[in-house]
Amino acid sequence: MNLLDVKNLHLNFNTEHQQTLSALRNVSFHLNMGETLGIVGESGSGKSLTNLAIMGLLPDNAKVMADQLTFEGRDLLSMNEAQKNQIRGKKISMIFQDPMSSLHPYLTIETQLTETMLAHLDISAKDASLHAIELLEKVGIKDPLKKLKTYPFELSGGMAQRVMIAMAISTQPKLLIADEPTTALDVTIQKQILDLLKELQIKNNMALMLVSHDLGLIAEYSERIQVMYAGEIVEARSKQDMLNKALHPYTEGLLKSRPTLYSDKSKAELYSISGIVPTLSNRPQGCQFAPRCHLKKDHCEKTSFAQTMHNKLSREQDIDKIAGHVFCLERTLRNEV
Amino acid sequence: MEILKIEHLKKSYLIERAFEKPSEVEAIKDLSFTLHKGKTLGLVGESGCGKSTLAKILTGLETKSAGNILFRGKELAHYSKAERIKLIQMVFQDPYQSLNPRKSAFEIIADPLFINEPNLKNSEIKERVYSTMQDVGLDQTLSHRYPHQFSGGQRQRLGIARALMLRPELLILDEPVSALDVSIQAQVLNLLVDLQRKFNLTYLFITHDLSVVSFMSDDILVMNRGLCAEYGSKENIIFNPQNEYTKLLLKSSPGAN
Amino acid sequence: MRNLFKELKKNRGAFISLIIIASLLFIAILADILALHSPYTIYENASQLKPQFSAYQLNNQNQYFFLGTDDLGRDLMSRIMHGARVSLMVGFTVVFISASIGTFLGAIAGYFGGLIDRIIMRLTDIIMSIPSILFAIVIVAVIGQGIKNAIFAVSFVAIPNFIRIVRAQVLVEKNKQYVYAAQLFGAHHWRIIFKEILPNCMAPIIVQCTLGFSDGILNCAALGFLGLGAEAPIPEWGVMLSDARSFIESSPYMVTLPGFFIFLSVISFNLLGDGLRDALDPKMKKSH
Repeated sequence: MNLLDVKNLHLNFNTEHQQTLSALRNVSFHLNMGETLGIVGESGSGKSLTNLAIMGLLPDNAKVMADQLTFEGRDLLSMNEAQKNQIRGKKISMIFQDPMSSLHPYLTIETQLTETMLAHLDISAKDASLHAIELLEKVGIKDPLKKLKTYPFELSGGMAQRVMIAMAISTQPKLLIADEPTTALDVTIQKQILDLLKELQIKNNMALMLVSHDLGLIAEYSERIQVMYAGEIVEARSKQDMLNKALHPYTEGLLKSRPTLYSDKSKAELYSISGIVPTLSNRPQGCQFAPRCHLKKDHCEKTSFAQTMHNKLSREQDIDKIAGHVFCLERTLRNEV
Repeated sequence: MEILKIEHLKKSYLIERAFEKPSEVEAIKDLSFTLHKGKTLGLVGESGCGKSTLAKILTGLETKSAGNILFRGKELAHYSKAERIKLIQMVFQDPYQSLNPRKSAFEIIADPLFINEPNLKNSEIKERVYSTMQDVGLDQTLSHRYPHQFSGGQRQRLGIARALMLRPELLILDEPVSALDVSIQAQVLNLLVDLQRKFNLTYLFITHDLSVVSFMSDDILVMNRGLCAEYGSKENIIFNPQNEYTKLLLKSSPGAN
Repeated sequence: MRNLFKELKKNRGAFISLIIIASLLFIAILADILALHSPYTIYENASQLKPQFSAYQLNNQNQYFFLGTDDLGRDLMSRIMHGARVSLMVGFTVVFISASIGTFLGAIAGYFGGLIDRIIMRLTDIIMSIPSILFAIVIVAVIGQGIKNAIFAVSFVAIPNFIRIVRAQVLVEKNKQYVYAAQLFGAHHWRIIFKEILPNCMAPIIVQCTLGFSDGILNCAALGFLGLGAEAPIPEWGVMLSDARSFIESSPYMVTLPGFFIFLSVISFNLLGDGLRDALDPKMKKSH
């Protein structure tokens, strides 16, 4: 049993015009204590929706279905709000992109830090404040006693994010989901925050889900990487394997189109993936990436990968292994996989 | 050829707070650099380093406190506003906020012409707008659409087209690709390089991303708290940095290795 | 626009209000044709007739007074219908005047800031510190009564609402990058205010126009009721209400009819304004 098990997660939205929009399809992955799973995706990939589905924070018109969505063996889908509240914030924590808008502007840091603790732990207000000071020290904030009484607007972006992290780990969660934690921060602060997350993960043996659009960032801090495109996982492998040879043309495109310090406009233009990500209401048939793919063949736009693979593979274990992973059909057929 | 020469530029703001003595904040303490025609100067710095203030001074939104800004040898303040508009233009960071949501793509792109060249005939305006749209890779059939109907990358192209309408010599690009998806960033960067070659444009490219700046720039200026931390050719800055702050930036760049 | 209509349809109250207002408009415009009598004709032997469907014998002719007659023998249905015309015209004029002046002042206060902003806002505060109907009464007391003066007074006290709303929206828009871009391309201030910023402020202005309509009608009716508004024999609902006070026991319909129509039009405009506000607000966010 894994800490977090997701099998064939589907997410649909019911819109006003009786339309059903498919936001996530066949998303499957697992996570264990001490592991860092990096999820890479651009806008429209569904990476944030996956996080919200796990946390149970989706809007009312969202319909979630999955073969399995369990945390510590308990089914997250069948829980009611009270049960979910037991887990949210206590065992599974999440930090978001812009710390300045995630912190309450009118409450002091102390109030916000102790709020989570008082809600989930059996602890007195005084002890909670003491613990808050410890937490601020742990996340590298100097002068924690003074900072307790300050308001969010008095903090810089980096410090505010550290406070968010302190809040998130205050209940010693088993799983921490970090959704674009450093996108709004300066580059030197980014490194500090990510190093801090890694350090805390090792100390507390937490599971960490690091979500970002920046493949370089994910590659540096994760052991396993999962690439999402248009609501599906298109590739999920260990970091080494993926960087050595990307299997899905989208991953390959992402890796190639990112400039490095060695890029130079006078030497070569940047590799770019043509076209744009399909919108929720305009999902193509067959392979989602086909319209932009340089390997595209006729069958890519007609059949779905899962179907073809089901026909190709006979063994249960193999089907299980590729369940929820949409590899490139063309490459699979060419036996390049 | 030197097109823009900045010498010891200073800019301070007076902050007035109720019940306190007004205090002076130096956004730019001492800045000097040169831009050569047809080349790109990459301006790298984190928040608070003064790069947005510099952009505001060059575009006339703010006035400098001290120092010289020489455009083609003449002090920038001595150019009339009408002249300056045709020399220096800007592409903005936020593809959502930088376009008026109530105007069509055509109106947005044609605006600079409407304002500055009122004697042009409608047919001439149309021709110039369509040709610029083609230059930036936008189909002219899209010209009647509104900003919310375009993707982020397309909106940035609109912003670039708009900035090019008056045929400026110097284009200030303020984090033009930071808000875009990685796969779209590459498209827009390639476009900018093409346009530079085609129209012999000079770029002041502001960004915080060292890999992007490495791709785009001929020279790099690293700013830190209103001062120049390091200034030199791209090769020197990226591969042989001398300044501690530059080295820190390079080390912090994710996956830059 | 089509989307707006669809959104509005979802709000039952707003949709019904729209129908009611449209009907009132229809009646107001065609009052001359629809009414069987002139609102001014006095039928001497037909005073205080109850509303009736059957014909009334008058000078050997069959006359119909579907809503009855008032104390002077004037057909109430006709007076109500023409009253609709008066009220809607009053509402429209009040909104037109207060919206144009208020929007202009709010825009320059928000855009230019500084001294202009402070002067305009202090004046706004002063006007808003006094209850609007009271202020309107004072103005009419000074400049004299009559429907034109009543309209002027009511418009004057409605201006601050627009100033505040437009100023708030302008303050938000003026810091956006597309305004900065326009400044960069050499657009002068007036062009920016009218062509860039104000078009993006239309939503709250439209809502306030609808609400201002109902305020305008109500305030003018109040002035009319107090004898400070329309002069006799203009069929204004407030004046009709006031004139009917002494007959509340003998002919209650003389009071309830104009009262009911005042109530109907005010509540319809209010509900429509609320519905518009809801329909326009999320749309603003959705289109992002």
